[in-house]
Amino acid sequence: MRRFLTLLITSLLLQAQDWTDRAEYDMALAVRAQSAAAQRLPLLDQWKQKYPNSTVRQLRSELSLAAAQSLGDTARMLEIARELTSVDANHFGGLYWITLLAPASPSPSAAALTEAESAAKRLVKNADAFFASPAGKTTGPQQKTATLALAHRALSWVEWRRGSLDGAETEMLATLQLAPRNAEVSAWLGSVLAVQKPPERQIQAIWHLARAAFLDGEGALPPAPRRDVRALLEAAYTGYHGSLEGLEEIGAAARGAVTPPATFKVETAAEMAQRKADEEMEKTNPQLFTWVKIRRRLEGPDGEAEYRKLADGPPLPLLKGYVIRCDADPKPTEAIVGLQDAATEEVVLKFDAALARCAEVGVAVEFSGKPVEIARQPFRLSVAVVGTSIQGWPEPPAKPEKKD
Amino acid sequence: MRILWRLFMPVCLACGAALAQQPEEGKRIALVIGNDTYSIRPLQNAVNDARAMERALKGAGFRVILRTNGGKVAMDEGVVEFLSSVGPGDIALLFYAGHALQINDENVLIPADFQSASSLIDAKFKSVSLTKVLEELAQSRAKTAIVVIDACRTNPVAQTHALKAGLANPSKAGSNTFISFSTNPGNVAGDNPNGRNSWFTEALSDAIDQPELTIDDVFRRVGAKVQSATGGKQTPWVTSSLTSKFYFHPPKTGTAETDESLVSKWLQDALHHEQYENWPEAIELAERIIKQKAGGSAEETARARLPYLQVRAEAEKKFEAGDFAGAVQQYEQALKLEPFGVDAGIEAANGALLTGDIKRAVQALEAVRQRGASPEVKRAADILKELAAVEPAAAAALARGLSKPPAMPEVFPAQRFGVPDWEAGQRWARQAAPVDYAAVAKQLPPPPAPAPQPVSTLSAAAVAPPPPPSDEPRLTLDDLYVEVKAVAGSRDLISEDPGQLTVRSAKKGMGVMLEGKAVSRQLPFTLKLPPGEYELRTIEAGKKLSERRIRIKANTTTELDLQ
Repeated sequence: MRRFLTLLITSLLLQAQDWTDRAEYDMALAVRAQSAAAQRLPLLDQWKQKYPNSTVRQLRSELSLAAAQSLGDTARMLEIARELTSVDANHFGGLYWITLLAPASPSPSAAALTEAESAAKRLVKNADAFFASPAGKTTGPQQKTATLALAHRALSWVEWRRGSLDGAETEMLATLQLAPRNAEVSAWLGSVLAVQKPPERQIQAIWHLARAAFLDGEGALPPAPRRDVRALLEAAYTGYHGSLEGLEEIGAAARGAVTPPATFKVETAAEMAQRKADEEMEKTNPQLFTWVKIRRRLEGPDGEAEYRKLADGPPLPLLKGYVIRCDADPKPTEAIVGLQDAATEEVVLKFDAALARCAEVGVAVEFSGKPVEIARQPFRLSVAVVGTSIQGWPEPPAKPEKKD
Repeated sequence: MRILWRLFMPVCLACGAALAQQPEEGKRIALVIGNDTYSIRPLQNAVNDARAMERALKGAGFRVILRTNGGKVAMDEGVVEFLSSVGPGDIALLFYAGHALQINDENVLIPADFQSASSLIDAKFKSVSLTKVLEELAQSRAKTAIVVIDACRTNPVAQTHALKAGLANPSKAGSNTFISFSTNPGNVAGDNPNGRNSWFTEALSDAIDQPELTIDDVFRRVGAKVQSATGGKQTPWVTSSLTSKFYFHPPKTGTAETDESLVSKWLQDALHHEQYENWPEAIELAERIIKQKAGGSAEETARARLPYLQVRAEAEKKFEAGDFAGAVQQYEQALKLEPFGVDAGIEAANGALLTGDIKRAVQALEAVRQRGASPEVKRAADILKELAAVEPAAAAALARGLSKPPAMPEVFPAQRFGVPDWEAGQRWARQAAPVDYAAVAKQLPPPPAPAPQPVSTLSAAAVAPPPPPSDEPRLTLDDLYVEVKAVAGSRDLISEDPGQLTVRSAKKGMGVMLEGKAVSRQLPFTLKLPPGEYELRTIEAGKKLSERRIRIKANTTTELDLQ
């Protein structure tokens, strides 16, 4: 309410502003007669020099700002915006332009960051009152959203430049909530995430960079930075995924959503290699692949539950292993087999009854049975098997025939 | 007023014609100078810089006049050739790399044969004046003049004569001129002693090569790169009075200027024609803007202005035809449409007096006194004084005195005071901030390490004899052992026929580790391995003693004696 009253009073004061004398009015008319900003600006400067404390000085500064803006003179615009806010700390136009232009500085000083932060925060603070004021009401509601987005964009840039990646991310997400099609901020967010190590950050970075690089139409990046973002995206993606395969699909999806869906996943190069190796193994040695899957489940984070499921479920499918050793020979009751090779002890076959003799080391056997015990360090799965059902186990030596 | 206006007309029409026939972009011509071989404090990169720029500019369609290590005469000749080649509508670019200094706020470029100077005047005459080149460029009517000086390096001449460091802010540049120094005026730039080019020129020649960048984009990138390379110590400086976009490599599709900037230029031209009372040209441009349907403030202004322009054109036609009553009517209408068009008020008064309608003339003069500037107000008052003798209304008007001039918002109706220019803001926001994404790419973390796999994918046929159950080998970091590891990707996943590797050594107590698993505590030892390439490292107390690679072939025994 207090801010609203302040704006109302400012508006009334604006009406009460008057020319110092007729000569000042003449100077204003001279400015008015010039249509080109390049000619207007020096005249406005002369006016300012002659009437520095004129009651219309803020309005004059607004004219200067418009002229500097037409000329694309960022430094001058900032200077004038600062003048506006030095007279009235809540001058909405001054705050607006400081907020908007701050990120144009490639290497801002700490003071410039503080200035941008302060302007952006004031812009947010004054937005409700401004847009409720008679002047603010002349603009559409979308203008308020765009202005708030601009403020959060500046705040995110300030945080980023200060090295506060978390703060930058929060403000960038706030900006994107208000301006979802702002590809520039998507690119910033992607950049902030891309330099962070955890894989989940890398995956999010790829999404945001892809959105920035692939978004067309309203809010899209201009061609030059778009190319730069695309190069960054490709570097991040190939670094993570190992190739550009699948990037176009991600870009197409990212065009349609500001943030990645919960299911969004990018395989790392190692994961992809593993998947391909698995596919190859499944094709060439399905029996071993069955075992590999079982062992991964047992050694995974839910290993205990997985073991329970296996133990309570049907017997294991037929698996192939290589005999490494038996607990006794003759009459072994247990044998240790390796399923990947004849050196890695993985499964303890527990026979229902002692067998006649141990198999030769390295002999391939096929077995099935129910898991009865698991050891994790080192990994050993004990499986109860019917000894006579083991395929490949050597037959007991033939008994010598009795002679009558 | 009428006479004055008529005298002015041919001049204005000439202005209009010149504006209407503004030349399209002409040829691109560049003078590129690089000087290294100074007798005092020679440089190492300036000639390289000149060559880098020659290449980049040629790529951008410039005819390049190159001068390297030029003395005073050679530099002067280069400047003359350059300036003589520049014509109206051309794009002229001067690039200089070498020593330069400011003498009494005038920038001069130092030729390679500069030895010493006894005084500042001597130094000035032995140098090439950048200020003069800028003056000549301003007079050349080039469409765009670009001056790039990578010369703000420390130099002994400046120190000897206690001159200010760096270069001065150039003051003699004309319109449509873009100037950049490799660092701020008054500051000193570095030469990049470890590089082939200065930081500034390296960034600039790279950026010029990029397609579709405006000159502002190019120098924004240069600024970001130089600041980043010098840790913020060097900030390239730019000043521009360009009124249209310039591209080194224009966009391939469509015109280089966007519709938006083209429309804005038409509007500016239309207002310019209006100022010089070139009504048909102003009307033509306003109609063109409306036809373009560009939207925004340009179209809004054109729509608002067109009726006034048409009425003024009609009024002039009637006046020229001697239809003074009709002209007065039109001028009055014009004054209603544009209350600040006080010249229409004067014309209306002229016309009314020619028809003998003094009261009407007084009314028109009153309108002039309400909004006119002091000279027009005085002129109206003078006429009113003369009329007061015959027309009481004139005397009454004078007696009432001057009313308060209209307030600012009325004087500048197109300016929305107190409200930011949203449209401009949006345009500005569309220009992306200069973020160095290439620098971000350099900070990308290394590819994530593969997640530990619980089960290796060794061949199912890899058959290694198991260690004796009772004597399970255990190797620790303190032990001496040979480590055998398959070279990634060198083996097939499946191989039915393994090969054998027998490892021997004279050293006692040497163990064998296969793929991270201890398989023996003593040598000799034979391993059965799938064919492929293997790395063997001898390790003692955690330290690698030796390393070698061997290839295992199917059904073949390889013997290895570790010395």
